[in-house]
Amino acid sequence: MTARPEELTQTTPSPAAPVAGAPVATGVSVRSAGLDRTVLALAVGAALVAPWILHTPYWLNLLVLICIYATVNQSWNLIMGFAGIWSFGQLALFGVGAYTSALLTYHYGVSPFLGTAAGAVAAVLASMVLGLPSLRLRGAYVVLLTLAFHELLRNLITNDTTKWSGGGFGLFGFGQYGLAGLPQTDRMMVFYYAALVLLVLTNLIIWRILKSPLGLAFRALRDAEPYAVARGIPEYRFKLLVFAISAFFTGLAGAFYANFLDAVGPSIFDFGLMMNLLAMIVIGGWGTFWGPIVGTILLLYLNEALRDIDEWRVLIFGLLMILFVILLPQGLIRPLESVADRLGDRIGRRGERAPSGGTTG
Amino acid sequence: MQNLVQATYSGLVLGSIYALMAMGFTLVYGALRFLNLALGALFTLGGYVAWLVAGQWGLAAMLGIVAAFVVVAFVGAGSYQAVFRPMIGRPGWDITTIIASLGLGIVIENVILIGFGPRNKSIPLLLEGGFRVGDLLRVQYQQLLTLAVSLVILLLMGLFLTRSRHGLAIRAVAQNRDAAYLVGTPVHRVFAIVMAISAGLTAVAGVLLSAVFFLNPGVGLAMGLRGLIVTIFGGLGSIVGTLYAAFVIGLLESYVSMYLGARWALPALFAFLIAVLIVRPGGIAGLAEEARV
Repeated sequence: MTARPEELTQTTPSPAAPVAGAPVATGVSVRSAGLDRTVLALAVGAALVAPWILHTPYWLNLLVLICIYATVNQSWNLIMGFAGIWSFGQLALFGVGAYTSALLTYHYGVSPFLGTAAGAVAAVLASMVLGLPSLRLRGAYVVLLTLAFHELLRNLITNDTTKWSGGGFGLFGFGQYGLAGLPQTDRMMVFYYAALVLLVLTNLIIWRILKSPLGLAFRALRDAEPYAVARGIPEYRFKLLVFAISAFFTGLAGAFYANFLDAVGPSIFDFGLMMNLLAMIVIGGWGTFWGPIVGTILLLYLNEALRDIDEWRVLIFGLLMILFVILLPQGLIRPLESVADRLGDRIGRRGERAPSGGTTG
Repeated sequence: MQNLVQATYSGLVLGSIYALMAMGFTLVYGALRFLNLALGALFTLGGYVAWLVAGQWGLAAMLGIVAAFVVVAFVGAGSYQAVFRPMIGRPGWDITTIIASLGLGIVIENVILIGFGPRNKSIPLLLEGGFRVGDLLRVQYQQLLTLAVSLVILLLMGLFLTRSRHGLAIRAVAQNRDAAYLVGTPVHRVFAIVMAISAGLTAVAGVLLSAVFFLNPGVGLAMGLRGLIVTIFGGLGSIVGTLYAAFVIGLLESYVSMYLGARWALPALFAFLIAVLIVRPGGIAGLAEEARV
């Protein structure tokens, strides 16, 4: 059994040649972020029209979930794919948002809108509790601390015997933003467009961040940390900042999710759900802008299509995720992009292109 | 006083199981430099193999431990060849291996769930009965056996690492992979062996703990987390540090469970670990690179 030397050489980042810290070359993400306006227009158009075509509660429910999960996944991708923070606490922050808004509305009669905002703020606070000790540390430590944070929250709520948090049963009947009176389909339509606003807003802001000097700094930290730090990027502060931004949208999505379902329970911390979200990001294209969105749509649809073989779904997603990490670590977005590029070339409308590869530009 | 003695004793027993579990993480991290998060699921798998051998087929319980070690070791080596080998050394491999190992863990866990169902199972005790030391301490033979098995296995592992050619190769690869490769060490075979041993140790931990508690497809998550806490506390990759850490964490968990209640065990461990990491980011060992594995 022999090994080729290049397989074994550990990559050490050097100033001259920044080494990619994520499976995606740095240039790609920028380019795909600035991908043809056509694609963007098509996507937004499709998102606006979709609920009128899939005009049943069943499909609308799925569309709302797509928007919520895509928001969470994009926020997770921001810290994991772009900023290189190996956090597995995203679902926990989602749960913090959901539980905060649910508890405030359920126990104290706070307006659900205020509760939703509070959910986002609480997630940011929780992310600081998590981030202050862990973001100074190296990768493996962050993995552990964030996983432990997740398990800790799940444990505290499941084992809560005071019934204040609803314990293992959860809390019901607090939300819907006062829309409970509307006919189901109409209510779903309102929820869908609200969720779409959430998704688009999150993505716009994350896109702005990625295009800003801050985004460049994050990619530099991810790809060549020693170099970036030597150039004077305040790593810890930037990581805390990106962690907070990501937590804000995740908490917002969580609070919205709780109000949409009109229920919250410890199953929100289900480890299988975390795996599913991770699979969506990895399969779509980790460290790319469109990847998490494509992955979310695809896997949530697959999740519904495989409804009949319920117990196999997590297994299938896990296997898919492993296969993608091994065979196509850039995710589905790369092949999709090259198809889109070829189409674009044929029409003769080439999008603005950043030079591929390299962090300078 | 009675409580204190009893809690100390069960803390030591718990610590010996954690030592096995954490050694799985430590070996892999020390030699391959990645976190194998599938170990939690392999812990569960070990328990189920023993349950099948000892509980269902009615064979000797000791055989259950051996079977669990062998079967899960093969799964560990197989997972290296199939999943991790293609990834090692690629750009970003340190995080892609973690993601893949999480995926592998969930796959194994769900295979167990589909194969054996979600209901709790119990492995027959390896040894029944026990004795009392005055009114201070209740000792079960099972616990003594757990301690003995863990210590013997850890000792064997230590001898293997320090005295055998394979152990030498493992330590060489852990210290400097490229240099080891250049002098002709079959690096990938060494990695497969490390993965096999770590999986086997984890499986034994699974059998020992499941014989005391119970077994269901989800037990690996909590145990994997505790194994990780021990590993990090011990200094991530340091064998001696991991040993100390396992007993410290075992004792701590035992005391917290005794005096505050079992549901505070994990929060306490978590708070403790954060405090330790703030003071000593390198864990208790805080050893330099050369002292790993």
